[in-house]
Amino acid sequence: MQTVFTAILLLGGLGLAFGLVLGYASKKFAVKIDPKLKSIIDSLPGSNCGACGFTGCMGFARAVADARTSPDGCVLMDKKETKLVSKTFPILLCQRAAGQQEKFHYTGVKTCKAAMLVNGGNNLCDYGCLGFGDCAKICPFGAVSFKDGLPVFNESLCKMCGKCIEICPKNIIKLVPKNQKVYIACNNKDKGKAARSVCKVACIGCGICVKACPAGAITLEDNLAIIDAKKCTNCGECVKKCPTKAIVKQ
Amino acid sequence: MLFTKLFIIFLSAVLVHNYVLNRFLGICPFLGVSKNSSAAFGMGMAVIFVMTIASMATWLIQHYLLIPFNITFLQTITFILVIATLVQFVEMVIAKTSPALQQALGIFLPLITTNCAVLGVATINSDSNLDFIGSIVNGLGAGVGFTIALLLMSAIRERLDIIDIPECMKGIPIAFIIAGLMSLAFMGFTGLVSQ
Repeated sequence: MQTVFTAILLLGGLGLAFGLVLGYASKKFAVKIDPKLKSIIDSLPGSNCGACGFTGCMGFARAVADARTSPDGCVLMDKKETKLVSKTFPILLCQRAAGQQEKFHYTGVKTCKAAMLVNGGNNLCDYGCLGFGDCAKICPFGAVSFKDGLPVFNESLCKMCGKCIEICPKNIIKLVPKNQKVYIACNNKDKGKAARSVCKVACIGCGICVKACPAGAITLEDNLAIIDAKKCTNCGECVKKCPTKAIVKQ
Repeated sequence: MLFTKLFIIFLSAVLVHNYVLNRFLGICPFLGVSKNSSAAFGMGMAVIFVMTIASMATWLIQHYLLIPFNITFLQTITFILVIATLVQFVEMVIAKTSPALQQALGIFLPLITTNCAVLGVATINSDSNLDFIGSIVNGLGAGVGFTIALLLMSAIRERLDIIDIPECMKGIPIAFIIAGLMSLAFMGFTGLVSQ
């Protein structure tokens, strides 16, 4: 018993002593940070996501202060105003997760990347979301949550670092401008019948939305409708007309 | 006689029991910081410095705290604590007194906190029952050996950049092969000193 107390006291004492020494030293040997560097650090998000290619925000701030890189290297910064704004937002090009219609019962490692290796994953639709949440796991800001097997992106938390887009093996996460409220939540490039047979809410490439769009913003490409964000007025006509409800308005 | 003994400890740490190529400690910085010679030199100097003072501090802790209170089973955690504190402290002092040196050592100094070779030196010191001076010399030798390995590796890797290597071997694979060959070469020193 005595050994336990000795161990606790001694190690605790050492920790306390070292803590005090370091605390004192950090006051005594405090170095004034270059005000320029400090203002750069203050304006950075401080999330150390590493998307700029430097070792965290501090590394990036040093590089900017030494003029080794330009301030717009930070993916979270507005190019002109150099303050945090996000003008785009990630969306998921799928409405039906693997759990709802399975090609086969997958019991392997529960990540999208691993599931993808087995015949392209267990989602009946080859283009659809696998739903194991690699995007939620990698998100440094906790902006991705899961609802009904599909990722939901939290607009206020998302910082546009693009990590979820990189990791998604199906490439179905896409950035759209924030002012675009209407998008086609499907990535199935198969012909209408094939797409319909694997998913009820797939885009079947029927072209009704193309004709319905008053602004002419929708085109068909590879049996898939695409909305041109520049022309789209968010009127929602296509959402009403779509026979499979593959078009979504946020 | 003392000098001979210390010289043998030093030589053993540098060549015969090279911490990277013979004991396989500190492989991470060995591969990570060996892409160019100047960075390798900076890292090497930082390691020499930290290993020497860490040997000193851990010997004192071992012989004046752990052994008298009969709690040597806390050796590893105590040594980690001591080394981490020491490195942080030294970094603060250097940042204040010599910004130039801090610039030169850069990120390497805080990185060494988690370098297993430093902890390795401390534990090997106590395992092989070295005295105070012997520990310091062993720490210094380990650092010098680490620097030599790192410098050799970086020189080789600088050459590798300009020669034609099969695509599948570029980068880390060829570095591993070379590390293995260097390790084999260093095995030639076995028997130089019998310890």
